[in-house]
Amino acid sequence: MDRVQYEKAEEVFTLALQKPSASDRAHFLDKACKDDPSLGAYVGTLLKAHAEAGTFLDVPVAEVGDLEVNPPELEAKGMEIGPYKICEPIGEGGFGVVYLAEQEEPVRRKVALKIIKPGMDTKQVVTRFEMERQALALMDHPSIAKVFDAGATTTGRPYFVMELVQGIPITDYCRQAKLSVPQRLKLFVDICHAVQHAHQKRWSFRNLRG
Amino acid sequence: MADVTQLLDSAKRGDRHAANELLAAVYAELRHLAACKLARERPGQTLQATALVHDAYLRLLGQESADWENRQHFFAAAAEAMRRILVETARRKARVKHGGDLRRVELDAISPAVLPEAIDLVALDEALTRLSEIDPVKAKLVTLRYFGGLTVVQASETLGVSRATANRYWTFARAWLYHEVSKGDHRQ
Repeated sequence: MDRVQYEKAEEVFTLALQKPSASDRAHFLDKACKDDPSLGAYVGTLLKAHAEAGTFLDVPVAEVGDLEVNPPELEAKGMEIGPYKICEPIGEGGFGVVYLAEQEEPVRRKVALKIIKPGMDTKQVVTRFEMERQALALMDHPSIAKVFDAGATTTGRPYFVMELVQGIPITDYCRQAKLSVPQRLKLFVDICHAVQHAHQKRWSFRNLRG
Repeated sequence: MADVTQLLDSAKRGDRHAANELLAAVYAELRHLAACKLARERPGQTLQATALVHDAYLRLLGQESADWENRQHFFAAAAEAMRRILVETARRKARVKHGGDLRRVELDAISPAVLPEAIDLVALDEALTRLSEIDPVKAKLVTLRYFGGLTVVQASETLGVSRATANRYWTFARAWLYHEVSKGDHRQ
């Protein structure tokens, strides 16, 4: 809508409302808009809206009694998200949480389910989350967890399901496995290949798991 | 988190970045408070919007009484934040209705306990956004009154116009929005 038309409409509307009766208003409209019938028609519909609005917007939405506070969707053990059953949280990031979950169909296995934290599902965060999912789905490398599935909860919170990778810090692994230096270097090279794969797919990682 | 008093000072001097940060801070605080209150009460409990905004005010600005201008800016930000929270919830509810398992409808936000005349908040929000592009003052007036619960007099003070002007603005804005919102219904 054009600002100029809008301002004209407001002016005519306000003046029309000062007239004592409906017929006076109609008469005034005709006169004031004789050179611009579409303006007259528009103001006519606005006057009609004014008459029909009733209590529209009269009572502030936040004052209508009270606001209901609905429970945040906190995941609890045993809760189901789609076909996955939540077992326990295994990781947490800035905007997402990762759970150990059980899948029954079509195959029985344990998986990692990453979901946006409650209240974090703003457009920006959802977009980033979706990018992460797509990035992982693009990867095809034994050292990078595969994405099995993606979805959203009943309230629209996105999640995706990954291969469960049980990892410990790489330094602990090397110590526990008593890896020799060449072995450690080989492990390091494997990781570099994985990262290179990712870089070739034009993504970078902020937290590498050993 | 940035000092809210500083943000208010910058925002009232026209710093848009500060105004955005202020809005984000108030928004986050309102959501956080709503969730905290819920944790202490039974689910489905109602909660006073004005108390929520008041608590957010105390938590963000401390016990010290901010100057009048800062208060005005704060409540304007709170009204805007309340609008976003309520409209997001309405959008989410609409998405759930249009598909997906309705077995468990859990919403992690606050929503009006009763909507008079079943107002379509999403349609109103869209119309209000269109209005703000042509006439930001009237759009702000509606946000302050409808989402912030301010009276016409209080809103007129925040906007810096006379009561009579605010009343005139309100009459027109209401009609314009009602028309815009009803237009959509006919199309369906």
